[in-house]
Amino acid sequence: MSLNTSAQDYFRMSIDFTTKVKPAEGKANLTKGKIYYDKYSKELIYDIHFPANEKWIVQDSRIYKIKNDSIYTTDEIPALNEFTIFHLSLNSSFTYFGLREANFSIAKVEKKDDMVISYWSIPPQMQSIISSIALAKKENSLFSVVMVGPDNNILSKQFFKDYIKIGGFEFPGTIVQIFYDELQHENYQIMEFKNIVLNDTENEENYHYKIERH
Amino acid sequence: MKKLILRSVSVILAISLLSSQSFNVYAGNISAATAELDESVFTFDEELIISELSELNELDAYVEANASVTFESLANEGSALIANIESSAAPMGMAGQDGEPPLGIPSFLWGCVGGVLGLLVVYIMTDNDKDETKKALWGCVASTAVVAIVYMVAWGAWAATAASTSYY
Repeated sequence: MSLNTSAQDYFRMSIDFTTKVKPAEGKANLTKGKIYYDKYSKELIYDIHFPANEKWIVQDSRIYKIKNDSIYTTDEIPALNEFTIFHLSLNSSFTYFGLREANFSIAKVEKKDDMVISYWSIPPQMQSIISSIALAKKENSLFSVVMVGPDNNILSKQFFKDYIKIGGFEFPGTIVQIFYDELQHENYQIMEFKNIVLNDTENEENYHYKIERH
Repeated sequence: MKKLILRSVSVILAISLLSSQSFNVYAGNISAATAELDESVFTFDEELIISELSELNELDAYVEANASVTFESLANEGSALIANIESSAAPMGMAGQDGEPPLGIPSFLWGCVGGVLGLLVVYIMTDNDKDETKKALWGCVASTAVVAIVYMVAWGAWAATAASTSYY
């Protein structure tokens, strides 16, 4: 594969995922499986094998949860698959966390050691919830996103690391998320990705799920 | 006809935003939005997280080594590995689902799928309900999703229009 291949040359991906959630209180959660995404059909498929075998299919504005080929839950959601990390990574648009595409503006940029930190202005309508968002980039890749509350308290921190790089395509191998409740307790979530496959054309059926409507 | 109306509304909203979005963003309290953060904010204690996730890591290693294992099979065995683990899947992350969420959709899902956009959607649809918005924030933080210009344009226009109406 040519090293000059850009991310736009990739149109679908599959990847093994592990999601670990450890709240400050209550039970933890482990979910493992495989994600399939095709940026042209915009179909997002979670093929989960732990805690149980099931599929979550996100098509247009609906999410279907399926066990044993039977839908057990369906919900209406915004049609946002093309704005997920999977779609944006396939289009080289993840670097600014989608903020640039959302018309947020950069208020300030500073350099600290090996990080370039940009502070983003928040529309007035949202400033009572989030006063600012700061993005840190390392070696031109998104490294951290920090959301700050109106009292300058940290609401959340995300870290993107262990990037998987194939030609012009890059995807974070690990996403560490720390979010704070009102008592400033830390809640943790780690998403780990591995075994990425790009442009798989031999397993077409994995990227499309025909919903049986009765 | 419905499509035509929807398309027309979208175009009007987009044009409204283009004329009002920049005004609203730049009219905001920029100084408050740019409080400089200490460099330490952009770091985390990796060892602490490994320690906090030790039970999950142990279960994860077991599942990796035994591909066919499920929560149910572990429960049937009386495995201690799932003593403090939920039985339901949460591939996008999770957050509380109490209360009546907008359109009956759990806030975390709005946040998961929509990222920052999800926050805005929940914020608007719940009439600026902070609790709902905070749930969406959790989802946003817990997700790998990001925002979309089209929806932002539409919702931003709606919000900008509402805001400007209230100003005058």
